[in-house]
Amino acid sequence: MPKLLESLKVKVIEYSDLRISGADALAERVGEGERLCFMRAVAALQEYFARNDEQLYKSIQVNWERLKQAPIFISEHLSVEVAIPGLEHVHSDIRAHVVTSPLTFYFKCHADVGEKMPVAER
Amino acid sequence: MLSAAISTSATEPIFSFPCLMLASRMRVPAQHPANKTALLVRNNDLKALSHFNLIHNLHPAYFRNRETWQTLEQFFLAHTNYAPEAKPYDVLTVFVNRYMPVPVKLSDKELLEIKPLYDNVAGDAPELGQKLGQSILVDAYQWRRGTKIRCDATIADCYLSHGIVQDRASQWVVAAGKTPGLTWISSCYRRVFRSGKSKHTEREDNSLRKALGPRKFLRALGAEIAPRLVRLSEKQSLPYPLFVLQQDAINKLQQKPTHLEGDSISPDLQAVVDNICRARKKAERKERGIALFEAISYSWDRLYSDAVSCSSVYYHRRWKPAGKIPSSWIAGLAQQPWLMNLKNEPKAPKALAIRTSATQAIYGDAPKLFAIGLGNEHSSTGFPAALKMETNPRASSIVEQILRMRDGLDDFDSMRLRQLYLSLADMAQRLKSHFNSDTPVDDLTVGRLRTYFGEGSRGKGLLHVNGDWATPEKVFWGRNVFHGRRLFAPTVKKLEPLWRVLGLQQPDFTECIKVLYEIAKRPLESTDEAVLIDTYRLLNTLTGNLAKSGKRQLRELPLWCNSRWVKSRPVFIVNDDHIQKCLAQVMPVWTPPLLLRINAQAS
Repeated sequence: MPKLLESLKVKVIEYSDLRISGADALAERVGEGERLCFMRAVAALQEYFARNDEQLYKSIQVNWERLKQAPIFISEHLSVEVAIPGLEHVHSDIRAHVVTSPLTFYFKCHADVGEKMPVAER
Repeated sequence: MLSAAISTSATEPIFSFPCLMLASRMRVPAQHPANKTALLVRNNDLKALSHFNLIHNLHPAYFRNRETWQTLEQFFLAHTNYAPEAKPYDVLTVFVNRYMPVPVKLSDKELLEIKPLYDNVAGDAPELGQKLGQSILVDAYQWRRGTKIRCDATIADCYLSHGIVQDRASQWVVAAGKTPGLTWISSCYRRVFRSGKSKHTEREDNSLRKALGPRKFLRALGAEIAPRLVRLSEKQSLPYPLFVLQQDAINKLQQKPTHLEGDSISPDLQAVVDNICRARKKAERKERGIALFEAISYSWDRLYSDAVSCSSVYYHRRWKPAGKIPSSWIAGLAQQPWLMNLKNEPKAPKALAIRTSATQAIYGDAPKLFAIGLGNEHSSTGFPAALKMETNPRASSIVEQILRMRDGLDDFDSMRLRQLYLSLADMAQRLKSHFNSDTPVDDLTVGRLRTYFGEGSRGKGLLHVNGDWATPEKVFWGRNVFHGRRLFAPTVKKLEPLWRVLGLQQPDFTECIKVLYEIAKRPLESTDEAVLIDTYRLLNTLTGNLAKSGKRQLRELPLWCNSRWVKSRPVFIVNDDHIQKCLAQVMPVWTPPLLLRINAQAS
């Protein structure tokens, strides 16, 4: 409802207004270490939807393979900074965050990446 | 000699003495074109009706000298019954001229010869068909004391019998039963015309025209399927005793008339009605009564609609009009008990109502009032109204019923009330898109209707919404976006014309703002969520062309931020609960209903 929001003088905070802190090269390397776990978690989800909810399975906007390959950052210092011109910057600790463009995942710790394992590997 | 007579203008003897030589060597006088009973032709290719000697071939001697023939033909064409060749229309005209004064009985073969001739001109000369029907005698019958008596009758005097007409067109046959005095064309003619049936008739211009079926042919020749009216051309003194409808109409006139002008009667209809009223078996009476109603309804526009009323006049130095009153035929029909009510009691039509959804809504179950066998489909013509039967009720009557229900004089019945609203909506539906308070809605005006709905003896209107009576000013129509915070009329498509006529408003910008301010008077509750969603959605569609004041109102509209209503700006919105909670500690973050949050982010 862009017209209403504009008329109400409500400012929409977009993802572009958010800056991720703590997502450095180390965080990326740590994240890559969890790639297998992440891919398995996504695969488990993919299989679940394929079996139980075809509509949801097909409605994914990025394809499943791209999702599995999405960059992952893991950092204990992960936080989000909201930077709106004219206002003081606000920091917020977060456990996980997703940026859609480019598709990137940020996690606070390993446990937040995913813990679902295929049944055969448990 | 003929040429000499023409050249000296001594032509009168040509019409007085048999001086025209025919090919058959017979001599005949010439005839004036207007009253020709035979047709003089040069060539005759038509073989039909030859033994009636309708066509006279001129002797070939007339054509030998070309110059002489030119003079003769010019004279024949201008002054006599001559035509270069015999055409169907001319032959039928000659037939009518000869036999209308004294009709002739035609055999089946002769009828089959005459029909293609008429098929050829049908549609172009309807009056010729009527005259033809008055010239031809056919096998017919009448009922006398329950016995069929055979007779000859002109087609134009007959009614079509059951063998020839079927379905709705045969209702008059059922209604008449064995009433004496009516003449019915023999049903054998159906077989006769079917046997000579050709699908098409070749016309003079070699085009093909679809041949008429037996029923259409006989109808074109004047045979009827519903009682004939007799129009009285002379002024008639008022009938004595006066029919009730006529007396009622005269009572309303300022000048009392003494005579009727242009009145219509129907002896055949009167005979049938008398016969129905004498019928002893109720089932027969019921069946014939309904059939009579349907027979007249079926031919209403064609035969009766313009004969419902006549002028009443009085003499004061000269004849002066007093006013329109019902014609004698309909006035008589309205007061005789030829219909029955649902209790199988004989009743006059004017004491009955047709059972439609609207009349049922008004009168409820009233077996004594409703005519048996008549329903919605019988109220479409002007016939029941002419009989003063209650059909679809007048607007004033409907309003009266709603008033009685509101004031507790009648039991409240929501289904009945809905039917009453629907009946009014049906009348409102017929209004043009632009109307004002003087625009008629049946027997009321838009202004009167609004007045009735707008006030009452108890200060309440006539709109029953959410279990209470309300005036149109307090009720909205359309989608109920305010969920109980305002009254909304039922959202039924068929009722919308009534809401428009009553001036009901649809939720607008001002009302949305009012409702949002009402909600903002106390902390937000979960029950407010639906109102907020629909109201914000509606506002979104209404923000296009807002005036300055409207824009200012929106800028100051209270928004639910950080568990309190905030009117000042800036206000933020973010589609992330966690971030929203963090931000809420340092800035006003709007938390609209969940559905709107998703939409806001998606946009």
